[in-house]
Amino acid sequence: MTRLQLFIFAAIVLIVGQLLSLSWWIPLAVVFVGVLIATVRNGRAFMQGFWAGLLVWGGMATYYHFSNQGLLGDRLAVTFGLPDGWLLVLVTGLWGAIGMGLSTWAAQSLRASFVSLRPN
Amino acid sequence: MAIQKKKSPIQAIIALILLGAWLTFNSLSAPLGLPLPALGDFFNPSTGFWQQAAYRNTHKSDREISISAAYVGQIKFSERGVPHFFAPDLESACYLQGYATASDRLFQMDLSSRATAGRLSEILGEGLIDYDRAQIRRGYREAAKRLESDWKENFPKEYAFLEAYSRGINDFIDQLEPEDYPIEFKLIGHKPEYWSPYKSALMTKGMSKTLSARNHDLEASYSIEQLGQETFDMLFPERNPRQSPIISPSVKYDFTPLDTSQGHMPLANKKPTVSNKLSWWEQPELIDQSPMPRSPWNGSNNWAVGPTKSSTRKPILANDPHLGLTLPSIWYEVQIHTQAEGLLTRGVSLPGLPLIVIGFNKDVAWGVTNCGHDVTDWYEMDWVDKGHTRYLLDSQEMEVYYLYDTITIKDAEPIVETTPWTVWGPIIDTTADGRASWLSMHWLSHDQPPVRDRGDLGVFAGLMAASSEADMQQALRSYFDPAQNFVLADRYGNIAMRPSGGFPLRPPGQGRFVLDGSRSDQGWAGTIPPEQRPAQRNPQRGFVASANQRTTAEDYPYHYIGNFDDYRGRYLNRRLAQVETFNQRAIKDLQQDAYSLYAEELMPYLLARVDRENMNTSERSLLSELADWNYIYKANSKPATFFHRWQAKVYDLTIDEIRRDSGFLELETWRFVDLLRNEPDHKIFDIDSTKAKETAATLTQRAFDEILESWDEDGIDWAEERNAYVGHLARINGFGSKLLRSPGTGQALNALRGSSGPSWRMVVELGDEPSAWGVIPGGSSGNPASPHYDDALHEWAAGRYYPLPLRNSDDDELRSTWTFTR
Repeated sequence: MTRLQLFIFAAIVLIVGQLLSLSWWIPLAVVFVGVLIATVRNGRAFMQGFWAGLLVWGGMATYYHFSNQGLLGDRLAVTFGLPDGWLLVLVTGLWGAIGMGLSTWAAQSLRASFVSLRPN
Repeated sequence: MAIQKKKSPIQAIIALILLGAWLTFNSLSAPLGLPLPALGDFFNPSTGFWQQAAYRNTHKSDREISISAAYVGQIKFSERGVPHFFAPDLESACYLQGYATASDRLFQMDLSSRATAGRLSEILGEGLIDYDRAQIRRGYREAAKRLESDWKENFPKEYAFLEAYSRGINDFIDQLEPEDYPIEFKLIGHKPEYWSPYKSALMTKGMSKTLSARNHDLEASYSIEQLGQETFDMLFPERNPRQSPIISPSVKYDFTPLDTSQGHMPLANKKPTVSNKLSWWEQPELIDQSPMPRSPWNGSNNWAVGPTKSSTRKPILANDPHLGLTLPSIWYEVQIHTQAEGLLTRGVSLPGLPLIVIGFNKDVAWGVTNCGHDVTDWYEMDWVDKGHTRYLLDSQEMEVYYLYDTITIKDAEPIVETTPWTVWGPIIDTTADGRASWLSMHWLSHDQPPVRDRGDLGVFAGLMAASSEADMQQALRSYFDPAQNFVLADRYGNIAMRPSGGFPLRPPGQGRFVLDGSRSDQGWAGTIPPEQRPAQRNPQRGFVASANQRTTAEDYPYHYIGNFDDYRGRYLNRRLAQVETFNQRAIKDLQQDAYSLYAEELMPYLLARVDRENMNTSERSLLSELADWNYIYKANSKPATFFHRWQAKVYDLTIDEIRRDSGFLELETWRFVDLLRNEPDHKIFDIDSTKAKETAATLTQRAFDEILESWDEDGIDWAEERNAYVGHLARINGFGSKLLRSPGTGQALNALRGSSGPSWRMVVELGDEPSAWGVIPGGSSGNPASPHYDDALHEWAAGRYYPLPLRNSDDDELRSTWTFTR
């Protein structure tokens, strides 16, 4: 897998997770296993997962926040001490990003310590 | 291309540790000890809180539902999300009502029933154990169990309504996916629990607690002991001579009252022994708060004008019950239409109970206020043994029996709470030195009601189906608890006020103090029979009205005590008498009226006692501003703020030696005003800790000076001073309202306080076709992401109303339909 392929793979799994309302960790596990199996080029894989998570979770949150006219986001922002509902969208995106980033990075570096990888 | 060597595993180990930590952290509830749910699924947009914002959870779209084999019908939602039930019969309508209420108010029902049952620590943890324990010891679980079995055994048809209602709720829960759980469940990390008729009974007892648990027996006994009879009688007379009762004095009672002499004067053989030994103004030691809750300040208004006073020549009825204001609102607006019974009734229901509590149909309208009669007594037992297991009753040994209740606690071992009960009721305080130490409590709401034609639901079903005021009177004969003043009107021109409920048959003087629990004749001789309850019908004056004041004039043959309002009722009667005719607009204005009779009566005496000699110009101008104030608590009024602080300070200085938190009875405000006006040199105004002799004038001046020290002419107005909000039911930050800037104060008809006030405003103009208006300080939905979470609150705050038409199923205004098929 190239970096782009890894990003696309992670994003697709996340989207499927969203469509099926799967628990948050299942896409992370699927991508983790996928990366262990597939040959991934050398180099750190954190950012590919990170961007995929940010895109999918942040995108979903943006959709809900926007279509709901901020009614929920702005209230919950107060609950969590944030100045604005859009920050809650950002936090959601980062939450998805960190999780998937750690998953791709951990899987790729685990594989790299067993198998010789082609450099990028 | 060169093949690279294997990597050192260090990076992999670090990454795996971080990933593991992230997985763990996001799966734990209360991460890092913070009050948060497990964050992974909470932030996950497809399972977590964002789902509340999904369209299917914020709006009602058309649905076909075929879950239940038993019930069919339709729920049609108006633009405001108000459900209209179209069902073949009332039982099916109850099913639909359960389903719709669950879709909008599931968390509210769950939390309210848990709060009454003492089951909060199960979801909220150890911090709530004391609350749960207090609920259990006061016997709310037991009261609900008794009520449920009364319904089940004596009113099977009504019980079927409750089963259908529960089934509707549970069918809704069954089809609910975890991602659609209301947001509060997600925040707490808890899931919805099935409903049952027992929980509806809990809701009923929760209302009884709110409306009829208030009593002052312990405070009264303590006060008379400390102060002696004479001072006690002077400070705490039972009757306010200025009162303008609900049933006007023109009503005469020609029945022969029942014998109440089975009882005795309180403390007949237990006269206060320490009177006057202790100088009554000595500061007593601080003792615990009353073991019964001091109910939040609840008041309400209802009235009806008859044909002679109505611009339409037909009755106009108004009701605004004042309760704690929360989001979601305590009320849920509904319309019920059934074919079998021919019902078409609209109004408000209580989530957790089927049917309509306050409402109208094409012929009649009804509304309620709280009666406020004291239906709780306390008994001192004659214990046989030190372990308090046996006591004497009429010289016979009786055994205490015990109720065992489990308190389930989140993340902790359950505990079993043991409550001893005597023939009178539960023993709430089993500590050696508590305020109610080993006293037994008798509360009407624990009693089996007398034989009656209808149960609680049957009464409301009867009101909903009534076609005349007489029909409603008939249904109300069976009404028992909590006692309410029912205002009734029909389109034929009849208006009536019918206080209804279980009113204890007390011998004169009984019930104000702690009673002797070793004598069975210290109990009540039953309750006042329905036909002897006070009532008024089509009075000459052209109106009936109630605002929680005393029920009757002194010539009512039965003795009763309670908590009664002293200002709103008098003002309401005065306004209704003054104005010749009312139209619906004038009735609405009266509901919004923020005039304070208390201020009218007190202010002149405060102003008269300020020393004007040594004032500077700005103080003088403040004083003239106060003198010019019209006693209306408008949001932007500064005189209202000043007066409010002033009277509070003078009051506090006055009662400094007999404070409620020291265990004394509360000096009623009307009595305070009377003393200030008529006996300004009375010893109550003297502050014992100073050498000087203070009078009403000294205290008034001191309070004035103290407020002036921090008074800023551009300072805060009444709305900011009052600081009223509508908070979320579970006090979740951000889910409540902004500062309310509506007019009003506790003693005005528009009785908006910190977090209580008019919880539903309804005005019904009867006629060939009724015209009705209403508004709740909230909205139909309990979902904070829904536009209907607080849309009505904004209208309410602005003093506006929605029209409340009676709708047929083909009405154009009904936007979406849930169809239930087999």
